[in-house]
Amino acid sequence: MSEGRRRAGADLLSRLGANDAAFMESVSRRVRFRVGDVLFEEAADAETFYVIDQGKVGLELTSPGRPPIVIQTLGDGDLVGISWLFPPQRWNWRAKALTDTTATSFDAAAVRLACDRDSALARQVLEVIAREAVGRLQSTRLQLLDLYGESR
Amino acid sequence: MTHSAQSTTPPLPAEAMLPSPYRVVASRHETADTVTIDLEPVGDRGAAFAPGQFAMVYVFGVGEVPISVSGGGGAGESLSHTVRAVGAVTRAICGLEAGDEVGIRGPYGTPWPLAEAHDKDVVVAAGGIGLAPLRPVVRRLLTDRSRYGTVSLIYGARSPRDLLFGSELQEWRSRFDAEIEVTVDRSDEGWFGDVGVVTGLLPRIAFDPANTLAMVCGPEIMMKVIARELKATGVRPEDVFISLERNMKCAVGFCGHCQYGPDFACRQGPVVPYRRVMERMRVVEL
Repeated sequence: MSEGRRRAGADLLSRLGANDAAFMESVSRRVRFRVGDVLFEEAADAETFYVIDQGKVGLELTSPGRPPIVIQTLGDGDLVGISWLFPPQRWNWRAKALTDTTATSFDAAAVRLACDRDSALARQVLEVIAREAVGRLQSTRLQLLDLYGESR
Repeated sequence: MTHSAQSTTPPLPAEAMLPSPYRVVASRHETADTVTIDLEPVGDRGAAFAPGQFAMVYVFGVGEVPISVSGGGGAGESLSHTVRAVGAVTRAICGLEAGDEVGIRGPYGTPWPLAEAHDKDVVVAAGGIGLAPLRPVVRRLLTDRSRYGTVSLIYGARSPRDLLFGSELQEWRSRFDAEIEVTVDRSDEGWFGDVGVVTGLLPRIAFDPANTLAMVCGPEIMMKVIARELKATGVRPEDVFISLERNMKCAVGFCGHCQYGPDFACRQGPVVPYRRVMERMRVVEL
């Protein structure tokens, strides 16, 4: 089956060597969210990031006087949260489960500390995060083009 | 059908420049600016249209535009066109009511390679109004489901209000033998589906890149990005088919309005293998 574009979360876990994978396993746990549960709030400290095993999570922008706006949905194998790696380590969006969702959560502080000590692990993690960030940037550019509008 | 057969210019219909009268038997709004009309020939038997082919639709006294078939077109079926109101003629088409008459020329152009897709996984990717020319493809794939491997549709629109064929999409999604993924660029309060560009749906669907045929229709930028992403997964460019949109006037290869490099979109297209045009799609302003 198609393997050309792996989801970032799945990619993060699959590319690590045995020792690094064991470390990631040691700072992770399986979590379950019901529909409507909030994984993290906008502007909160980025202490935990997630890889979705099964389900759907929406990244939301909250705005006064109106319901939250979903700006992107994430699904199986996706990485939820990239701000944990960069100062000031605060979430830019709210993440909310749009369906019942199972995920693997990771202790962001522990992973950051491990990356500080292990440049090989840091490179692997950075590469996955950078690729995900570039993918989201490219998608956002396409969305900004308003491809389906009248003047195409 | 082979790749070379697909790129062979189809024969022109008899009386290629003469419109036949068709009567509107139904008209329905799909979105605020998009309407589907069902047509039946007046008197004579209508011509047979294959999915992917187009007709020149003539609104008497207003003008003529090329519109792909969005349903029917087979023997004994009404002919459906889904039209977005963007100019004088398309606005007139969207204002037609049951009983009104139009002139139809066609069928013109190359069809989607449905026979070539037999025994393969099939990826259908549509953006915006691009779902209209692919609707007969999806219908055919689901009707003849056993002829194909996995069947997937990924569809993107600007917003939930711009999604076409809502009830039919629901019907397709209720099937267990096809993957139907829909996303919008911008959500609203009542939308509980996916948000993001249509390319983001590709990793969600299952297909064997070595044995996949893809049919893609939408804005050219979207088709280019989808084709590139499919190529990155291992699907060969000759197994990706796109539908060219160009300014067609005569539809028979005389006027040159729809010339695209060495091809006329009306004759060698509109459906072409991506391999045939991938270099041209990188040429500025071609």
